[in-house]
Amino acid sequence: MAGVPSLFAPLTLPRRSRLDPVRPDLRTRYLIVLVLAALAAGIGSTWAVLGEKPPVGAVKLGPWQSFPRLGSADIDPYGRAILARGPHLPLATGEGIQLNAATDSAGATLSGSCRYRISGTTLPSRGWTLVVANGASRPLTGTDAAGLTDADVLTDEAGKLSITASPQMSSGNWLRLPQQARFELILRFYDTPVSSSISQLDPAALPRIDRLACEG
Amino acid sequence: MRHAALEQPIKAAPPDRQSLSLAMPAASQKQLRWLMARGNLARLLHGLVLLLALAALAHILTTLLIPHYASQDSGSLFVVSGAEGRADLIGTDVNPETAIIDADPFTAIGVCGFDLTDGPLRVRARSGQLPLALSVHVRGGGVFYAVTDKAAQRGIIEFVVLKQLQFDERVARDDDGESIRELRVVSPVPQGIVVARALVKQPSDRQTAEALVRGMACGSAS
Repeated sequence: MAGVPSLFAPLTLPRRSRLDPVRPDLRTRYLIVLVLAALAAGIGSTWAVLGEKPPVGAVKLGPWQSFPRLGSADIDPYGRAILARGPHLPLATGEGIQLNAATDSAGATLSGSCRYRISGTTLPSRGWTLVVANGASRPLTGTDAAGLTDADVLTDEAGKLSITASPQMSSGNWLRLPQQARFELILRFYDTPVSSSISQLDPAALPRIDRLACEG
Repeated sequence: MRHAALEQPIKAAPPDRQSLSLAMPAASQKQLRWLMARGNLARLLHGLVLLLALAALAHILTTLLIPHYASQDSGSLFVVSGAEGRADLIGTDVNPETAIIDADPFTAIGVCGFDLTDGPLRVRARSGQLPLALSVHVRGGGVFYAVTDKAAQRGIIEFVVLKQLQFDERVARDDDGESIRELRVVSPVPQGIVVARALVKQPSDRQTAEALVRGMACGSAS
């Protein structure tokens, strides 16, 4: 087209020599570099977004975050790719809900050098579990494993709970935390009626995570 | 006789940029430089757009293809589980190589793999004192059916997993007017796993929960 500069206009001028038939011309080399750079950028960006949690589909409820579509038939391609990278078994919609917290209610990252109070109400369910996980959302194992179920926790007359989470032993309901390390909390409710309508849930229906004190 | 060379039209050599610019007034030179700069910018933008478009295409393709070529997902790892007609127990402490990455340590998990090209699968589990749920996960990610023990009838949870074609054949075989007492679940893909998950509220519940999930029977429903 007249007046519109062609992308390859300056690159078509040097023609391939008959004496050097193997060496690609400038335009071919340009295309190879472009395609390789695009492949690197495309695959690299895929690798970057496929972490432990999908980049889309999160439901945020105070400090808690849930990905309900991971356990449903309308799972998004990112969620599907994350599940394909290792043995996962997400809770199905109707089976229960999983909530992860990497920060406290004020938005600060959870750390094993601090003490926290987890308090408030829980959702109606057949049972719930609260598990301490590492920074990559994987439950701690072996001697570091820590967690509670609804059968372990005493609640007040109104059914509200209060759990102290700290590396040092504490009276009352106590959740052991890893020393000095960054951690996450995973709260799962089994057979809860709200599992199919979690996006409409009021964050006040879930426990708060308040930092009490930190060392150092 | 006229010389042949004289009949040839005289071709003027195209002026190169330098001679052209020398022959131009300053204002025209400035305009030419501006046009060349605009051309280079346009070529650069074209290249960037092409690069971004190809990168986006590569990103989408790799994201979509990962599940198809995955071999470490639950659906692939456990597709042969339950070959003896009973669910195999899996979890964090049973076999580290096939340990579920994000498994709740307060649950017991049993798995049956299925390949519907061999025929429909009948799943049957007995409910107990502990909360129990069954879910059907497809190979490559996604759960298309789940049921809890609240839906158990006379203490039994039972359903048949089948392909659309098998479902249509079964419906055609059903006698008119006869009530069908069979829950049929159509799977979007032929391969997957059925997961039985029981909650272990206290350490003393562990054995009961494991027995509950191991009790899930998976067999042919042909």
